[in-house]
Amino acid sequence: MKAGACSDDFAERPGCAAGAEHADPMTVGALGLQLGHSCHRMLVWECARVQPAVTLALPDALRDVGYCEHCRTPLVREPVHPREQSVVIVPRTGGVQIRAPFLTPLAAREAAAREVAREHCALIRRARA
Amino acid sequence: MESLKVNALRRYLLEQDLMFLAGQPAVYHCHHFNLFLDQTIDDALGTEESFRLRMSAAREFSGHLLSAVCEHAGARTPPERLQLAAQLFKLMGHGSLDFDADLSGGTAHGSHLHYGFAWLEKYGKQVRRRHPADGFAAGFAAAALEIAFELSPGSLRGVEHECVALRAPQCRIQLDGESSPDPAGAVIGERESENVVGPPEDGLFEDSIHPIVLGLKEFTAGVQGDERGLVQAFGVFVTMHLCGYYNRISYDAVQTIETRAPQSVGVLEDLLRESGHVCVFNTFGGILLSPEWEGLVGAPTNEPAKILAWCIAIGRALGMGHWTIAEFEPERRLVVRTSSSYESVYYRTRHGLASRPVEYLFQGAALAMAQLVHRVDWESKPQLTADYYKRLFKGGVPWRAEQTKSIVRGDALSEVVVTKVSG
Repeated sequence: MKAGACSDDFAERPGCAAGAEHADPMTVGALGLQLGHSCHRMLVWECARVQPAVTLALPDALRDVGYCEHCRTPLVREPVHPREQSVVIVPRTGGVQIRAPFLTPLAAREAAAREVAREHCALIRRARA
Repeated sequence: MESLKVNALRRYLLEQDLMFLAGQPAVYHCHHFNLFLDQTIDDALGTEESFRLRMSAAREFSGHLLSAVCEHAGARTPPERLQLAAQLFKLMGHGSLDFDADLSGGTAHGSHLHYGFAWLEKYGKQVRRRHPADGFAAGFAAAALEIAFELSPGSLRGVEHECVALRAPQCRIQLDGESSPDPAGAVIGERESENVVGPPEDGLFEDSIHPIVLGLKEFTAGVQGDERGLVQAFGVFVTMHLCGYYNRISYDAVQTIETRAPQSVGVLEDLLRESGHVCVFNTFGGILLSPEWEGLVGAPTNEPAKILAWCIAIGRALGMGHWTIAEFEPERRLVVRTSSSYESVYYRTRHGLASRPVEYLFQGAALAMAQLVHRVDWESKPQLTADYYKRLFKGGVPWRAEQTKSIVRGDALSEVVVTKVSG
C-alpha cells in the first residue's frame, strides 16, 4: 500500500499537527495521506490532522478553487469538486479526509487522491500565510 | 406534480425507532448486508428461484410504496408516474432506471444499479459472476409499470438479461406479462406495526444514546441518492430499503427449505443471523470510523460501554427498532432488548405467532455488537476488511447468543442474551 516518494513534505508544512500518530506502513509518501476506512477500495484517504483554526478556513479556500459545499451539518463540512472528488472536514478535531470519485478505476484511485492532497496542502499553506 | 424529497416521505414510529417511507416500513442498510442477504437466498434456493423470489418481493412492496408516493405527489399520468418511480429509486440509493415501456411491458435500462454496481466494486476483481444481481431493481421496475398503467399487482414480471455484474456496460431488465402472479399477502404499514410493537422501555446509558439517535436521524434526513442514484455515506454505499423485501425473501426462503430440505434449515438460519454480523461489522463499524461520526459524536475509543451505547444508537437511527441495553458486564454478559423490530412486525402480520424466535438480524446483531465492543481496537482506526471480518467472526467467536424473549412468540418484547463462552 505504500506509495512512492513525494516532493511535498507534509510534516514540515505549517498548520499540520505532529505526524507521530500517522507513522505506520499505510502512510503514503510524505503527504501524510493514509488509506482511510471505507468499504470502497482505495477511495478514501485520511490526511494528517491540521489545527482546527486551519480547518475553519479550508471550506472557503476550497470554494475559491471550484468546490461546492455539500454540508449536511456544520459539524462535518464536505466541499465537493465538480469532478466529484470531495474533502470531508471535521472542524472540531482538525480531521480531513479526501474522497476520490467513486467511478475512478481502482488503479487510478490513489493517484487521484494524491492529486487532491497536493491541492489541499497548497491551500493549507495559503490559509496559514 | 411535486418534486420528491425523501425526508418529506420519511417518518419514525414514535418511541419505537421503526422508519416508514410513505407508510411502508423502511430501513437503511449498506451494500455489504444487501449483497450478503441476496447471496444467502441464492445459496438456499438456487439462483433462478432466488431471482424470482427477490423480484417478486421487490415488486410487491415497491408497488405499495409507489402507489402511496404517486398519491402523495399527485402523479396521475403514466409518464408522470414512471418519472416519479425513477426519481424515487434514485433517491433511495438504488441507481438509475430509464423506462422504454407501455402497458404491455417493455424494457427498463439500468445504470449504477445498487446491487450490480456494488457487487462489481466488492467482488469484481476476485469472482466471476454467472447470474444477474438486480432482482430488486427488476421487481421495482415491474411495479413501476403496474402502478403507472394501473395494472393488477403482480401482473408483470421483470427479468434482468444484462447486468454490470456480468461485465455488461449497462443493466437491461425485460418487463412482460407474469404467468403465475403471487397471491396477495397481508398489507404491512404503520398501523399494522403499531399493533405488533410492545411498550417502549429505557435501558442503560439512555442519556448518551438518546441525543445521538436524534442527531443521526437529523443527519440521515439529508442523505439521498446523487444524480446517478447512489448514496455514499459513512464510507459505504447506503440504501434506504424496503423492510418487506428483506423479510419476505428471508422468511419465504426458510419456509421453502423447511418443506424441501428440513435438515438444512439450521444452516440457512445461521446465515440469516450472520447477515446481522455483516451489517454491524460493516455498517455500524463504518459509521463509527467515519469523519461524519467524529464530527457528530466523537472519535471512537476503546471503552466498551461507550462503543456499545453508540452501536445501540446507530441501530435505532437506521430504523432497526428501539434497541436497549438491559444488562452489560464487560467481557461477561450483554442483554439487548427491543420493543420493536422490522422482522417481528412482518412476521406477526404475515405469519402470526412463531414456534421459535426468528428475529435473525436482531440475534446476529447482538452477538456482533459484543464482538465489536470487546475485540476491536477502535483507537487504531482499523480497516474493516474482509480478512478482518473473518478473523473476528470465523475464528471461534467467544460469545453465545440466545434469544430468550420474542415478540414473534407472543412476548411483549424481544431479548437476546449474549454470554462469554471462552477466550
